[in-house]
Amino acid sequence: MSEYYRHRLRQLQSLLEPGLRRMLFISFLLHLIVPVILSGVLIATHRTPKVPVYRVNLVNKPVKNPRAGRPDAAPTKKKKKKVVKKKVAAKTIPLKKKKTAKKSVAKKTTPVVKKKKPPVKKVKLDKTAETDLQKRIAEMQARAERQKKLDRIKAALAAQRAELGKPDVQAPVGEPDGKGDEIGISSITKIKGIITENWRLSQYQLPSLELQAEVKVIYSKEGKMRSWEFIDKSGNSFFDESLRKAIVKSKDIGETLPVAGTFEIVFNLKDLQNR
Amino acid sequence: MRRIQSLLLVVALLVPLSAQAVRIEISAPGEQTIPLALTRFLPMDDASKSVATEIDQVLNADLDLSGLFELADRAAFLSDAEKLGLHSTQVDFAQWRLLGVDAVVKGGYRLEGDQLVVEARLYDVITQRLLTGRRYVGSPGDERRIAHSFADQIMLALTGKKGPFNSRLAYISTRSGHKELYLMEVDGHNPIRLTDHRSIVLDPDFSPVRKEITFTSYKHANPDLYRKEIYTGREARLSQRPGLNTGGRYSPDGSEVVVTLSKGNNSDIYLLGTDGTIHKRLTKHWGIDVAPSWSPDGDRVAFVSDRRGNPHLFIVDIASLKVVRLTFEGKYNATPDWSPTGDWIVFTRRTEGQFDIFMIRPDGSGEHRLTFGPGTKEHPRFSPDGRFLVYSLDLNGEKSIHVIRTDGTGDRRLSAPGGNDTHPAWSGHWQ
Amino acid sequence: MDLVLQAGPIVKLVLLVLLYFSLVSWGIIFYKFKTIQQAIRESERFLDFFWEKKRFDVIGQGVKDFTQTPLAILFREGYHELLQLKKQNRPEAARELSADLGGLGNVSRALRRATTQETQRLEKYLTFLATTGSTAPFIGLFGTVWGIMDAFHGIGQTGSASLAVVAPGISEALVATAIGLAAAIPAVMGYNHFLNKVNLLIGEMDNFSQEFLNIVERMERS
Repeated sequence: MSEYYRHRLRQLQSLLEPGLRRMLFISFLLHLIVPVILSGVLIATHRTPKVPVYRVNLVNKPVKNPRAGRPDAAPTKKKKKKVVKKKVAAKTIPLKKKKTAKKSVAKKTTPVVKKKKPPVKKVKLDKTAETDLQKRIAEMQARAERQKKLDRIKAALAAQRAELGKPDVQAPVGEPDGKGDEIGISSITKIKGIITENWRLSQYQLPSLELQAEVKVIYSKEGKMRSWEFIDKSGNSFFDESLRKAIVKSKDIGETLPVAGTFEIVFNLKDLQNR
Repeated sequence: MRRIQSLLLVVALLVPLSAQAVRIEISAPGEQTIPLALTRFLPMDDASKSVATEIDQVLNADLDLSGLFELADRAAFLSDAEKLGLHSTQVDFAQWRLLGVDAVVKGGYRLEGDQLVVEARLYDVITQRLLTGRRYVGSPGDERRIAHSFADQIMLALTGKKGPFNSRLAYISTRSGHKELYLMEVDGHNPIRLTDHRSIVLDPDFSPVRKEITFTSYKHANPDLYRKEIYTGREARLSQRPGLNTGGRYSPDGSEVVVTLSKGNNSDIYLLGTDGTIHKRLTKHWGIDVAPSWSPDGDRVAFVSDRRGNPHLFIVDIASLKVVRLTFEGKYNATPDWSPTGDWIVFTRRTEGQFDIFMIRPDGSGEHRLTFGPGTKEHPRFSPDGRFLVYSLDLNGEKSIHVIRTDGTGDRRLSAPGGNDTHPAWSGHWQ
Repeated sequence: MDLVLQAGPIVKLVLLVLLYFSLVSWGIIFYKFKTIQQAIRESERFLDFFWEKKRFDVIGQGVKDFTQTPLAILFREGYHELLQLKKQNRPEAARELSADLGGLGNVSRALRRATTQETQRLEKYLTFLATTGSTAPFIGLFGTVWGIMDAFHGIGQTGSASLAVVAPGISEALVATAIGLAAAIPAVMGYNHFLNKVNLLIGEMDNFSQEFLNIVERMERS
């Protein structure tokens, strides 16, 4: 039995032969690469469009904040504004500060300080008073200037903000001015949900289910009903009375509407007929 | 000129476009019940509390049976429930609105000498108006009648049609050991035995104009037709012809009775005067014709006949005597009853070994089944307002009277256990 | 990837096991591919070298260059045994060995031992491939069945049975079977391939042993 043979035997008995370890490592790397390649290929080939999140209103109750809990939800608007503000502020304000500071320093300190330092303390009170006055005037001037500039910045900011604020970012896509990336609860759905919920009518009250009436309702942006009127009555007093109650109960939506305005609501009993 | 016109036209077209309102269609109410708060009636003096309990029970049962209401939970009632509010200014509607109810029933009672006075009100919570109010004066013990009557008023105020609660049901029961005629309230209370024939009494029907019942009895061995005044107890034989004198039904004006007579051989439908004379023979056929029922306009009579083999429903026109076949399905159709509104005929049909209740329109359309539970259902009859049906259920050998809404919901048992109760008949509105 | 991440814990465990199988079997496939390929190539070279030189002492010195082929091991063992015999028994008269067939027997045994060892060496790790090939699909299937069970349980609880509810659970579960198959197929292919090659080498080793013994015998006789 040669030395080499023993060596081979030892290798044979060992769990991992020396070469195998390297191969296992290569295999491991390959396995790491596979999902990366797969997912990369998948993403590259069909980049799936962002699926809009539909919130289904199960209880006829509009969801108060349909995008609550989503990281990209409400704060988008605020963030944008903040960023703009900071940028503007960062650019403009310090510049002015520096300028004013320099000016004032130049005006007051260079001449004043020299005079001030040695004698002022005890002897020349009037001079200190004078310098004080000068200093104060300079300060006031500087402040006024700063204030002016601040005002200008504020105006610019306000203008910017107004421009930004125009598209209602929170309004969902279904709205005319909606820029959100989801389909949320529109005013129509909200109003429909609330009035439907408040409409209580039993078919036992009616001689027939083929009734229809139309009501015009005007809501303010705060969700308050401004006015309402019947456009078309059904002719059945109980049906009409139930509508009157439903409308009266829905006088306050309780939250602001993305879009205010006039709504023509048609009431009928088609869903009951089909049963 | 023409240019201006066309310009105006364009403007006229554009203006409504720009100002177009959003249209919303709501095609069903959120709930098909009216939320109603039923407060306990309050004593206006030291009258006994049991009056309130009785009224409360009756109103609760009647309003529940109507299927119209969602009764608000008493536990949620606020302080206004403890206040007697007999005028709309005395009711704190805000409290009721908070509970989400549309209407509230309030009431009080007192004893004036030996008279019971009950004041009852139904308010609309949303519009804060009085919908209906009644003062009832009766003797102590009339609480149930008063409550039934007010339930009818509530129905009238909210549907435009009086409820059937203050009426009576006649039925046949074996409580005394024989099949006798009984009378009870629509919720099954206060059953009274009317006959003492110690034989077999069958198939009662109320007169629409008098407090009178017609029925068939075997008192004199032959099935004869009787009429009986309910309060005086006077009784007379209307028809005692040999063979069948059954299925008597008063005409809608109460002046005639339609009946099945066999006169010793084949049974046919006849029209009798209230004195028992034959006015007209409606059918003349070798088949067996039974179980007539008037249309509410009194022009036609529905009946059952086996002239086409199996028992089916037919309608005969009284003036022309033309017979039209109504049902074509099923192997055995029986006991038709024409609704007071005229748009439905209810009948029973044997399906899967038992009878169940079906409805069909008089023109033969809209046939559908109402009952699906176990047991044989027989003798369906409409309530005077056409909203309910009463029938007898034969389940596990026990027969009982049940009431059900005409859409097949709200089934409940009326008669107390222990009697084989069959052949119900609903009276007209009972004053 | 989402499919895997959303799966339940049991399915995840199954996937982990399958990953382990796949990882190791691929490692083995690479390793075996390399070693067996080398062994075959070197065997050819060694045989050329062997028949070219024909002298054991020369070959015995040159054999150190051949580390991968089992034939070189056989030769080493046989030669080592031969030298051992010569040294022990009759170092002064190796020629008489021919009469003693026992010496030849020793060489033969040494060769057989080396053959066995080298066979074992060549077949080492192949059992793992066989195991992977036969069990990975079942493990995957187990994960799938478990995942589907989970999915249906969830459906039962929500009460909704629309395809939209059923499909994600099932597709998550099916990932397990897919990965199981993905692990098993190369393992089975590799196993069959390597077994074939190993048999080839074993045949070569047997042939070489016979040739070696023949040469020794001839040497002794002459």
